[in-house]
Amino acid sequence: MTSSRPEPVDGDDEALSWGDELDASHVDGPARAGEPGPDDRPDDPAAVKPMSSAALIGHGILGGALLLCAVGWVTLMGRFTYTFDTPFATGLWRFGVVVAVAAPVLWFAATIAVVPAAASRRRLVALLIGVLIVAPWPLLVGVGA
Amino acid sequence: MSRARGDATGAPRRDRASSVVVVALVILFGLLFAYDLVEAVTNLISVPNEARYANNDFYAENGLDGLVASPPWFALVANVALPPAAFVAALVVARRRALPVVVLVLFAALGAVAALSLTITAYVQSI
Repeated sequence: MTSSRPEPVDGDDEALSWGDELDASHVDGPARAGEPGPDDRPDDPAAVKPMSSAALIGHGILGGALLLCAVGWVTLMGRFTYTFDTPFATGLWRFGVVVAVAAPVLWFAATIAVVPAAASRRRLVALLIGVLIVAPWPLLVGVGA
Repeated sequence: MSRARGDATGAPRRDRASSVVVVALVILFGLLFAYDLVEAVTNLISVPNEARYANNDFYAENGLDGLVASPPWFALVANVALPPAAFVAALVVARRRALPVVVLVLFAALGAVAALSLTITAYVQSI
C-alpha cells in the first residue's frame, strides 16, 4: 500500500470504484472456475459430500462422552498413586496412569484419522466401542473406592 | 511395515528412512506394551499368594467356609492377554498408514490397555 497511486479526483468516487488491474492496490483473486488452476483435478465426490446431521450429532455425543471419560480418569488419578520398589517401576506406573487419562482423547483422534468421514457408521461404531473400553469404570461402578 | 513400493490401491510409497523410523517406533511402543504385560504377569503371580487366598486349606479344614476365597482368575488372565492383543490389533490397524497415524493408533491402543488395566486393578482390589 506504499506505492504511489493516481491522484484521487473525489474521495466518494474513489471509495465506490474498484479500479482495474492497473490499480496499485489490485490483488489477483482466485482463478475463475473455467481457468485451469494448479490443482484442477476432479474432486472425489465422496470426499466433499457433507456429513449428515445425524452423523454429526453422533460425533458430538460420542466425542463429548469420550471427553467426560477423560475427566473421569483425571478424578481417578489419586486412587492409583502407588509406589513400587524401584523408581523405574513407579515412574512407568505413573506414566501408565497418565496414558489412561489421555486414552479417550487418543481413541477419538485415532478413530477420526483411521476411519474416513464417508464411512460415518463405521466411525460411530468405533467411537462407541472406544467409550465402552476407556470409560472410567472404577468411578461408574464404584469398585475400588 | 516393510512395504517399500506403492501399490495399486494408492498406498503411499514409504522410503527406507521412514521405514526405519516406523520400525523404531513399533519397537518403542512394543516395549511399553511389554511392560504392561510384565505388570499383569506380576499380578497373576502375586495376587493368588496374598494372605486372603493363602489360607483356604486351613479355612476349609476348620469349617470356615465363609472365609474361603478364590482369586479372580478371569480378571488376572484377561489382564495378561490384553497387552499382546491390543498391540497386534494396533499393528493391523496401523498397517500401511502414514507415520503420524501409526503413532496415534499405537498410542491409543496403549491408552486403552492402560485404562482397562486400571479398571481390572481396581476390580481385583475391590473383591
